[in-house]
Amino acid sequence: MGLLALASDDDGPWREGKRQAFDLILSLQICAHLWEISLRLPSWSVASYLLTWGSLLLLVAVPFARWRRWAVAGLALLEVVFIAQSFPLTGNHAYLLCILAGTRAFVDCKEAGEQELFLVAARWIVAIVFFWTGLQKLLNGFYFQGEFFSYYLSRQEHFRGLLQYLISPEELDRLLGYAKQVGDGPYRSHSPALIALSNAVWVAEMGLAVLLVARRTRMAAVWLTLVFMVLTEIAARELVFGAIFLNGLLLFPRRDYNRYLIPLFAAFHAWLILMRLGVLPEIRFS
Amino acid sequence: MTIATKTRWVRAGLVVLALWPLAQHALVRTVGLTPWKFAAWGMYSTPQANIGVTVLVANPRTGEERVVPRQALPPEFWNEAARFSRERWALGRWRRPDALGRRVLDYIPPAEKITVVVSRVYVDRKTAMVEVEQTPYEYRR
Repeated sequence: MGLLALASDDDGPWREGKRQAFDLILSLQICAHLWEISLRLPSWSVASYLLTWGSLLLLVAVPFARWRRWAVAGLALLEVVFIAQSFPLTGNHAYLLCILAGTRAFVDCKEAGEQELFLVAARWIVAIVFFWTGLQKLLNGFYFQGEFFSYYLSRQEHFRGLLQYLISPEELDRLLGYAKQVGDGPYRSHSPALIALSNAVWVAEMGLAVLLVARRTRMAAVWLTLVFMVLTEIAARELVFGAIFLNGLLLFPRRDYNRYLIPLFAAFHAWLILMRLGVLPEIRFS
Repeated sequence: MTIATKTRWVRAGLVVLALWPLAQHALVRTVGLTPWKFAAWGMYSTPQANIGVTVLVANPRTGEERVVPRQALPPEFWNEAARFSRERWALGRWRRPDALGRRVLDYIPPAEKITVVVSRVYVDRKTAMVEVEQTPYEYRR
């Protein structure tokens, strides 16, 4: 497999269980995503029926080995339809779901060789995505002087909650004093702590992606990535993308830890649906 | 399909996944695409820009341009303008306001020439200041 093999592992005894759990969580995530969309459509529309019942039928088929691959392929196809319909405003989480499900549907996973190919491919997908989240921050240049954090700290409550303790009261006053109009700024920080954190973000994303691929550093990178994700979620609240990414991240350890987390993922997505239905109070997140 | 063939396809797919954000970044710089979308994983890499639409109508005799007040155009127009703004934010200059321009000519029959000005309010990466870029699009009857 050449370069691909860098992301391989000696996970033989746990490979099948780990991959099955991944399939189930991924299908659950696609279903929850499609249900969430269908709830925004008129309840009588064909698209609403197709998304709700089509994805439910496919989800029910996933636990059965015989139908699993085709069920995941069907879910990937529904996700493609959603992407086409929502383009150009499609969120990146939809693309990530589609890429992971498409890869899973393409690789049969009945034989050990194919199971390994899928796991290696999925790990590379997660590492590439993680690496690019950091590289985009580097290329776009809003993290060197804390520009991005300064801007959102002045405009969004949940960014302020954590970051306000890293800057002086004078700087906080300055940022909050802007009238949210042309001419505001400069959105730059003078706080060494905020600047350090800002630069640590893109360094961590790119660095941890590399460390996840390298077998020797993989487990340490998984733990550090989990810590990083928790901190990111406190500020950005990208819960849906975070959950999809977490499912991919759990393919990196040799053990099938993801099997034990299936109820947690199910509860999280049930919570999202109940919130959308209005049964539970709405909480703002991305 | 043999596993060797599948491996080749997977490898090709991963190369595309790894290189596509570079192409997207070039489009961000040249066309004004948002880094936040299109599977290039650039969400939270820049402050989000805001897009606004202003319509100017030219006096047929003097040629002087005046801003068309919001209430002079129906709510459907502004709904369409809001949708345009979201798509313009995503697609940059690839999304032109031609449909909006034609609508305005229908809504204001005496107008011979109108201008749709698309404003993009953004944080400049060199100065870190909030700046505005205005692009006018002229439409004639």
